[in-house]
Amino acid sequence: MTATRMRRLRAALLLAFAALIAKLFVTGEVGKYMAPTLNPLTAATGVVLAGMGAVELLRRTDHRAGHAPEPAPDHTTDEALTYLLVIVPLALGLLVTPRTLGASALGGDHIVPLLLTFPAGPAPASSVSSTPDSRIEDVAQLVASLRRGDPTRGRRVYARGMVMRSDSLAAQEFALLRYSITHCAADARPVGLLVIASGDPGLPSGQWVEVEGVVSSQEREGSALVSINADRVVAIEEPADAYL
Amino acid sequence: MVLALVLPSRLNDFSVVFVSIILQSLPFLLVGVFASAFVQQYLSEAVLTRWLPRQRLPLVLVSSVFGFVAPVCDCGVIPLARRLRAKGVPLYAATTFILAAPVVNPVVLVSTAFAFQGNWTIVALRFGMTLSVAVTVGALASMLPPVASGAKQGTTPLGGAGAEAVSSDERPISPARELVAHATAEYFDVLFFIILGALFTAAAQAIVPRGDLVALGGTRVASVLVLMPVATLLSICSEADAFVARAFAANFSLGSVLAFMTIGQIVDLRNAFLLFQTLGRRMVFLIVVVAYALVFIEGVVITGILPSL
Repeated sequence: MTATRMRRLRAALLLAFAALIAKLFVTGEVGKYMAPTLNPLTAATGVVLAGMGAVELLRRTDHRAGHAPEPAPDHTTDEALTYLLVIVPLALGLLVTPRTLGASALGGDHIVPLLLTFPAGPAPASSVSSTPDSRIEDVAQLVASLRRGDPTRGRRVYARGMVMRSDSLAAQEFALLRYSITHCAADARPVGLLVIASGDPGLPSGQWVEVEGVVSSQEREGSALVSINADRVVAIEEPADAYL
Repeated sequence: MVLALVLPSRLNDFSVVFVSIILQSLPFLLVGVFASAFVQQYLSEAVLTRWLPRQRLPLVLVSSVFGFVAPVCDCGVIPLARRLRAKGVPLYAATTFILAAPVVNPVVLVSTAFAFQGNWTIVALRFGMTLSVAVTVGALASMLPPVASGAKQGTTPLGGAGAEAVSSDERPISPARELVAHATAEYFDVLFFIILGALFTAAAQAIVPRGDLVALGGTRVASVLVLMPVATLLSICSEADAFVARAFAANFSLGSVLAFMTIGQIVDLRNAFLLFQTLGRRMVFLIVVVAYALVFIEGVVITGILPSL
């Protein structure tokens, strides 16, 4: 491969990375990979990569304007390997419609240690009545309430997440799973809630659901699990804001 | 026409983790390659010689805190270290910088404090553990005889797509364009190894379920030994790993959580290939042995003194 062709290829790859980032923003898929806090940085990266690609193309023009012919570099195999490898994330990012990390990322046997627990010690007084005003809206608010030590037992809760079934749970029980990410999906941490439905909801692992019910506590394996006694479990599409 | 492939669940998880690692690395990689290009273009060997101590130990100590001047994370540190090496900085000093800078920098220390709700004891312990490994490896490396081969390890192009860099036949006309050309060459050199590392990391994360990792926390006696390879396997960025470590803190001892944060930035799967190419087998062997031994001892001692947060 001549140096000019190599620069064209490099420019194309740089521009393809910029195009990938643009595609993720346009389709909203960026949220499946990255935390929203990194969006400005990711967008700026796309702009810089596009600029670098343009400069690579201009370098080719400079050469054609009057410099001597370039010698063909003798790293053909290494280059081919590099470009082949670079194409892999580009192809996956551009061609695949990503979904949030699924229940399969957790494994299925050791589910109870993954579930959210109440802090050890006496439960705070449940002074809040189950009025619509005191309803906990989704998992993030429930987690924040638990962190602050707010009373949560007995409050109504609305939560969305993935169903995760396990042999260690009863037929009418499942874990409601969400992932919390800091930067990207690679640092995802599972947040699981035990849901006790009135009957077998008959939903497969990985199905997104919304659940409404009352927060309660269930003793399992020596821990007080944060549980939802559900009076409504409905299958939904995967939401855009799937990560916490 | 836009293709929209939908992958099976396990393959989707692999793809999402893999692409997210690349996307997350890119901005920090760009900082690293532009810093490297800046050093290449504007920092002469004479200037470096004048600024840096000539004695080995003072040079190791200066290198260990250079992250405060150049706060680059683990994705950006190696391109910069390679360029410093090419400018005549000794291998042991570059190694010390590579090991320390991803943690010993203000951005990561503040993010650690944030993750642990302002617990500055943990920040100080993380800082100290990382520094201890970097200085020990640097000091030991400074005593090693030089490698017999002619070329300076880690100074030549990696043989990838950036190998031809800016050839003498077609120098860009402006310094800015030259800077971009150097950065682009370095970018493709390093990207190859970042992608290779991301492939292995994503595969490891897809194969070893997170549930099994968390369940290992029950074995508190060996928790330090358990979390260290987990950190190597997960290869989480230094600015994010404290938040993952915080999640482990409920099941694992403080010493093991600190060991996780320390070893994960020194011996990680994602940068393994790049580290081999940059520092050579002998140095990587030294790093792995010293880092694992030292971090294990420190983790166990801290677990004995401060069992939990």
